[in-house]
Amino acid sequence: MHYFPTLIRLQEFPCVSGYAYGFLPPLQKLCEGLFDSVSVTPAGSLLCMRHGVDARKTILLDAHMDSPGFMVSMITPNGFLKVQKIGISDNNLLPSLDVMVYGKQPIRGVFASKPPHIMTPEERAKAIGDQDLLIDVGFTEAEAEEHIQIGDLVTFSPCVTLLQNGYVSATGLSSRLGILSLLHCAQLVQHQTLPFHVACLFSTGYHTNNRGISSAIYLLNPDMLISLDACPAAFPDIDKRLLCQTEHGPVIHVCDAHGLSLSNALIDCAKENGISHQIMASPSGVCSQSDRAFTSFEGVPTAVVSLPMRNLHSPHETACLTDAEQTARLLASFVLHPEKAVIPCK
Amino acid sequence: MFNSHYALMKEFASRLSVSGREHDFSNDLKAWMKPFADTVSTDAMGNLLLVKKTAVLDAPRLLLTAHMDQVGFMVTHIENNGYIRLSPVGSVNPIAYSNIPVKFSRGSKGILVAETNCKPEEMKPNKLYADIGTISLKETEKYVQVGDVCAIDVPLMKLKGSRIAGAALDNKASCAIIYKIAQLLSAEEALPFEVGFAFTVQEEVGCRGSKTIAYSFAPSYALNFDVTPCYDTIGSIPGNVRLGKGAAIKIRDNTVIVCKTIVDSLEQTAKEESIPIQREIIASGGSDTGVLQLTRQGVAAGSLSLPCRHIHTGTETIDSKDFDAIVQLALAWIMKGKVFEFESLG
Amino acid sequence: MQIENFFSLCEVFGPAGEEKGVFQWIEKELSGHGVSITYDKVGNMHLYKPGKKPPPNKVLFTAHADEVSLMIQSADEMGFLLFGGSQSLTSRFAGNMMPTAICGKRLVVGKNHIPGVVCIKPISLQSEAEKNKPPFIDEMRLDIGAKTKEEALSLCPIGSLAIFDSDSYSFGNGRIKAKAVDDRIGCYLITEYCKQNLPFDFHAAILVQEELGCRGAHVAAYIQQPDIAVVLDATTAGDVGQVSGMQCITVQGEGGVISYIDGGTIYDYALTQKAFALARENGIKAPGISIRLLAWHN
Repeated sequence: MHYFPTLIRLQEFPCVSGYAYGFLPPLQKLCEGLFDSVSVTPAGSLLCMRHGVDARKTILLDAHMDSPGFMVSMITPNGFLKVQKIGISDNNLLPSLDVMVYGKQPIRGVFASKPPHIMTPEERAKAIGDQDLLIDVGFTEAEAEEHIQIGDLVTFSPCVTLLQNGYVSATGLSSRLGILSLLHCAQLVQHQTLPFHVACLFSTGYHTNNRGISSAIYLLNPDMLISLDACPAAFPDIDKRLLCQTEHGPVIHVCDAHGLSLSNALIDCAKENGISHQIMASPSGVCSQSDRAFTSFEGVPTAVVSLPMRNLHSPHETACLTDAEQTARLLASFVLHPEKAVIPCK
Repeated sequence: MFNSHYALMKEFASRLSVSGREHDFSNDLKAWMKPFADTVSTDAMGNLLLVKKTAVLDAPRLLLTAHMDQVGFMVTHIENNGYIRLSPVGSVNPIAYSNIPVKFSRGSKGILVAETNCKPEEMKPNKLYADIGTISLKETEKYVQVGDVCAIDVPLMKLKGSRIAGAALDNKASCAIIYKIAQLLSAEEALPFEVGFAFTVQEEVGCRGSKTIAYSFAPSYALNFDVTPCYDTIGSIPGNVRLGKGAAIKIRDNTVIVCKTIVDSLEQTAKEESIPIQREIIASGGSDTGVLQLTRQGVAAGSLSLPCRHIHTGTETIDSKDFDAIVQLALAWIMKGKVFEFESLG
Repeated sequence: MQIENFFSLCEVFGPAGEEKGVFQWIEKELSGHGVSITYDKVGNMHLYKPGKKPPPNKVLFTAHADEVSLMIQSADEMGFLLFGGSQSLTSRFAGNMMPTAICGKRLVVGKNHIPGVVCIKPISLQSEAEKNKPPFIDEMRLDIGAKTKEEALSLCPIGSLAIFDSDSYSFGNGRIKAKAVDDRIGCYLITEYCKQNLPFDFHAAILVQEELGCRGAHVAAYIQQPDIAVVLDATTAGDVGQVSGMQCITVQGEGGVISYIDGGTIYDYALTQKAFALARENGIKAPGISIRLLAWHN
């Protein structure tokens, strides 16, 4: 898996919750030859199956493909766009950021901000409110209305930067690196017999209502679910209990609300196979995607494996590629010997 | 039977149906809707489902939904002097509920007042109490008991033009819309698909009813009908939806981002039929649409909203022109088969 | 205006204190155009091109070469770099920039153009109080992917200068976006003018360190001793969102602005009137502005 060039190739395809359809064709292309079947679920997620020897058991591996973004909610009388957020963004990072507005065709724009000299001291001391989010597309109102309408998608302008020591910084990295890691796992087991069915789900709705995972659990009734996510890494002045470290491998979350059997099995697998990993205590829940999955329909034992990610929820999420490789190795090792995971009766 | 939209809505709005206590209105709806459907049923939660069947095997199933509950109050305590203490059911702005006429579930009428000398900045739901004219606990208990419900009692009235104002247009107006659609569909020849008309319960307290009725009917496609706020009143934040501008096609609300393919096909139909429409985006406020979308393996769910000013007050205001636009658009969309044109939801 | 050429000037690495990249660009553009170029002791570039005759008054046109920038001050044990733009670490401003313009953006550091990303605490880990205020400079870190303090400092030594790494492009209806338009536009206009045959002898100075308090200008004015000075710079257009009327200061699309007054100067009334008259006679749009505000402009 050539992570960096693939991230660059995927840049031109936005994927935001509710607007993921354009991302499916390039993703399907990356899946070619790796699976026995590839289909699009009724919720718009990509479901890729590898058949296993024991057809009664299914492992579901999930990597969400959608990123946060924005939606045009209004065009102001002087041609600026008001937007609403889809998913989490930090307003303090937005002024002067390049964006793409997907109107009739992609249009460039910039997050605008009130000039500081006309702000009162009280205004300057406050964070930027959601209602102050404005995008400058360089048009008058009439011109803007010709190209853009309410409901159109706005994303950070895609950007991938190579830093030192195999670190990469990119928009949407927390989802895209997970996708590539899961594909890398598929590559590693491509020519090997799998004991159980393995379903690789590239889900949508992670930042909204988790409909991708919900739909897949209904369709597959899997025996276990491993969800790939991102965990905040190294930053000063933050309680160490909340952070992981880059270059120490994937984070395996131990969470009472998910049941402990699957995470224990993953930890054993990592140790036995010499895969560097970290353990994080996540009492009472990890994230809504996996927390809700556990109680969906017939229920499913769940574990979350995270990529250590710096600068989470910003336009320049940053990670070390070796962590993604180790994550792929962990998943691949697990699906080759999953029988060690103690699964409650179906 | 109802010789005008106004007469229809007035009849519906006059029925008390606070969340959790919808059964009286449900029985009336059953009687009114019966001529238009082949089967009628009520589920364990109280949702009302009427189905227009088809002779075609394995036909697609379409579900039209509107919640039949309204916000109100539940009696929590009766004072020794006969005054009635209450707790809100659903989202209630206490300022809109002070010093208004109310009606109770067993038929008594009374007034809902704020504690005397309560300052505006102190107003909270627990500063409200009701008075039905009784002077003792024992006397009150003859008419109203703990656990009873009440709601604003302001009958509908006509404003100038085609505008109508009064209490409970959220969501009796949408129930009336479904009634009209069902009436018009019943005049059609046998349809090649199955249509369910569901009047759901407990939407105002968290979209609870729609989950179960959608699961049991198991539609592939669904259209929800609800009201949506207007942004053309004094002091309103900026927004797109305006009274009288046409049927509001939902793009997103708190619970859902509607699939682009559904929005596009509704807009396309409106264009072909010259029906006025507007795009709806709200950041806060939800609907049953999100719940429908998550049902089972996923449902293609959209929503047509009736623009309504002053939601959750005694002066909710709608425009009959918008009501008409929604009925026409929904009918055209259904009859032209547009609703079944797509598979992947994106 | 040759937009791509202008973009190439904007993209030059030219922070206050290290403007020579800009001078190299100008020298290259002006080679063969008969312009004599000298530098003073603080680094300002002085240009002279003879015209048909000497002017009745000596006029000096100026623009500044430097762009807003930050300086690397130290690194922490995790390999993140700490930076600042003014003497006070707890100041909300750093080198004339709002903190929200800096955090979440890409920078390049030093002559090797080491790329980095400005980070703050992820929003999901911020307290309510933290979420309700803009970030301070000392809360930010520059992540270049270094593993240790030593590695970070060997790639970006203390004192290295960092500028924005921002794409240049055209968009909308005749708009452009780039870094350092303030004041590469002034440098560009002077350069383009020098390529023409001129009616009068022309003096210009491309100044250093304007962003640090108009420092180069003091020296250049002293050396040149002009009768009249005309400053070419960029000014704030506040026509954003719901800001309107007087609050905008200036508005895009209405022409170049002739300034009456700013935080540092009351401009010569007769000169400003002459400028307006010239604009009118030649059908050029040029509104006037008066602004009294914090330190901006020389």
